[in-house]
Amino acid sequence: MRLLIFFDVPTLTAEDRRNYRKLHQTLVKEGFLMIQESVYVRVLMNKQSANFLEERIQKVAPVRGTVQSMIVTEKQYSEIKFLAGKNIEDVRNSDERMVVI
Amino acid sequence: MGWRTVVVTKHAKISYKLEHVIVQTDNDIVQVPIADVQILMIATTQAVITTHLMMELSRNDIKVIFTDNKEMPVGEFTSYYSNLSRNRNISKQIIWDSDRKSLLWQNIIKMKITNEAKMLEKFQRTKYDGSPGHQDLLDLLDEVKPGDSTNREAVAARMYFQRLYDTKFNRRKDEFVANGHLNFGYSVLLSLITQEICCAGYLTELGIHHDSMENFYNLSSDLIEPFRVFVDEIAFNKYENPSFDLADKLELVNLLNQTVTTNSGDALLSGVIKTFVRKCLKYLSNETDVLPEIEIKI
Repeated sequence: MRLLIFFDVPTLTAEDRRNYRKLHQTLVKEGFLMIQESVYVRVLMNKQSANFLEERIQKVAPVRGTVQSMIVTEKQYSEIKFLAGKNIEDVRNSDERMVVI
Repeated sequence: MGWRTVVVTKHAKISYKLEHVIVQTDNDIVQVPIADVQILMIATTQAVITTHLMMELSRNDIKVIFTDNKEMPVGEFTSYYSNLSRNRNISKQIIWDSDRKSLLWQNIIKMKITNEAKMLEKFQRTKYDGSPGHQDLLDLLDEVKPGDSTNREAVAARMYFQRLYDTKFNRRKDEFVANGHLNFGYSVLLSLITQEICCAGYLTELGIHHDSMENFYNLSSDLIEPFRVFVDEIAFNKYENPSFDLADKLELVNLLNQTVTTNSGDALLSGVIKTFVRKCLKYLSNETDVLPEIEIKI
């Protein structure tokens, strides 16, 4: 399961920037990986935990601006085509159960 | 609850930052969200780990396994955190009903012997006279008494190991490479069981059958019995061409992520073991009267 978060938030006033930092920091702490600017992804084991995480992000979504989320299965996510660029090699971008370092 | 097993095999610094385990090696930095981690195995003596990370790992009930310079598990880290009903559970555990303990032990041994027989049948192992090897084990099942007072477990184990590997095979001798696989694999299973017992808020020292004064993990050693066969299978597959290197060890660690078929459907072995442990603890603490029984297809 993958939870994707896309956002576009204003950074005009000091308050806007504070709200943005809060959103960004929450995404990092929750274990999201930035796959592009303003596009974050998180691997989850099931739909239920994806829904819970979505609710937690909801709480820090700034009122001004747009924050969108999408939950897709691992299979759907793996069908992403790279018309340019390539996949990010990172543990957080894989659903491997065993990580050997 | 985590689902990843992280194995560190080389020179690294392992630390904590913003809810992540950070593993910094000579030429790379790997970050894993702490919420994803189930087991952290430090399979090298060339790593350093920070106390801040150890604290966060214990808060999150993550099992940490340490290995010696031969990469064999030597110990693990068990936390105080886990469960708020721990004190209440321990008072119950001290006075667990002896009849329940005997019946559960009988059941565990039956499951163990059944699984051992299935393993012999799967690999078509035979007796010295060439007849199928599993039937004798199945015959023992009816003789298993509450508390296994007649010790059929030991009888079955002797028949099983000699038929599965070889008549010369001896569990105590280092010259058989399979013993390395078995010891390593059993340690990994034992850690998972210990983790689950601690998460549920019980003591691993007080077992239902094992009661060695030197063993911290008597209860874990009891509950591991039906699942040993999965390690035996991997060891058996390598019996002809013995090797015991890092790849073999990783295969044994990854065993927990193997999908198995049970009477209630397909599940990961780690999940099956955890469910079994929880059911056993509920039965022993009088929360249910149903004896835990899991049929596993082997």
